[in-house]
Amino acid sequence: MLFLIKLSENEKRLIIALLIAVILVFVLIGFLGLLVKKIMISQAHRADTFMYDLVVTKTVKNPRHFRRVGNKKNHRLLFKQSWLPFLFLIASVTFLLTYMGITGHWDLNVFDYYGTDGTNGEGFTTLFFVFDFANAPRTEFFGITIVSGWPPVLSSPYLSVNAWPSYVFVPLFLTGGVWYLVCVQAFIARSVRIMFQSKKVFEKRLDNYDATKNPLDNPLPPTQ
Amino acid sequence: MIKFLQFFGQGLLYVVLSPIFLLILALYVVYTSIVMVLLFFKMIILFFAGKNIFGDLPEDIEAAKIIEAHRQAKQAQANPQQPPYPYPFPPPYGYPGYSFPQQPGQIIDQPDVKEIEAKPVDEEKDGEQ
Repeated sequence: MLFLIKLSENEKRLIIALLIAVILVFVLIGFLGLLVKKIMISQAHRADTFMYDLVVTKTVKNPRHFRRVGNKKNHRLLFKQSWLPFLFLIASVTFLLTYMGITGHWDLNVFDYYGTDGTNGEGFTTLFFVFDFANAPRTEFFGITIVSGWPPVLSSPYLSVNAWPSYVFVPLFLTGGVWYLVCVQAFIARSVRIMFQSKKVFEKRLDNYDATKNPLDNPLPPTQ
Repeated sequence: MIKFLQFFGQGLLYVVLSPIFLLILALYVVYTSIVMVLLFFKMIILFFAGKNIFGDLPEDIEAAKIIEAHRQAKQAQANPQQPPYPYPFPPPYGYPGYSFPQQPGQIIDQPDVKEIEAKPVDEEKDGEQ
């Protein structure tokens, strides 16, 4: 408490600003997590769609049978959904390996931005601003070193002929990769749903059981 | 405010648990990659065997049969059909030698009718020539 009283007005403001920033970052992460959760719930309902008829007609007999059929269908759906992104990934890697093999340039750096003189980089990052975060201006704040200014620019965007393989490889690989990750996420959501539903569908609960209302417990007397 | 704090708490939880989430995702990526390769080879083998990897499972076929039977039963219940003619069931223009439509009290000779029905059409034509 005494420590806070000793602080100047500016330092107090800075602390409050930092605190608000940290809270906002966590709130944003929480919101993103909620969004991902909602997307996964909607993706998981696909499992209900392909298992509905089998459950309604009692074609699946027990939880084990449910899981077996559900997982089989889930694998098929995964294959159906992700063959294209998988093809993107394989095509991009094959392209890069073929290029490296033909040119003998096995140390190609797809994220290089500089090259030999700053104009002939061979990586995808030649298309972006590159900042020197290591040499960003820093300041001491209560014993902690924090970045206090915009870092110097190492490279500005430019087109490089040497980087054409990276221009092909990186977008293709990133598209395939992100798309494939979404498919895997949907697969996980469906797997979890199948696991839970396999138990829930065959569950018999006695919570609301009333023996007086159940005709099986009060059988009619045998006919004469 | 409570919602805001809830988001904050969840965000904190996700940050703490993110390495575990990433590990699970990485494991699933490896697993699904293996599944993709295996299913690809299975698809090729099944293709040359004249089958389809996306074909219906036995359970699907059984379920489809049950649903179809149920649908037909419901349809039959909604639109009851006229009871079928008693045997012998007359062909479109009756039997040769008998009046059509069948007159009340008319007796159709059963063995005669059976012989007419059993005789193939071609044989009948040959017999006429």
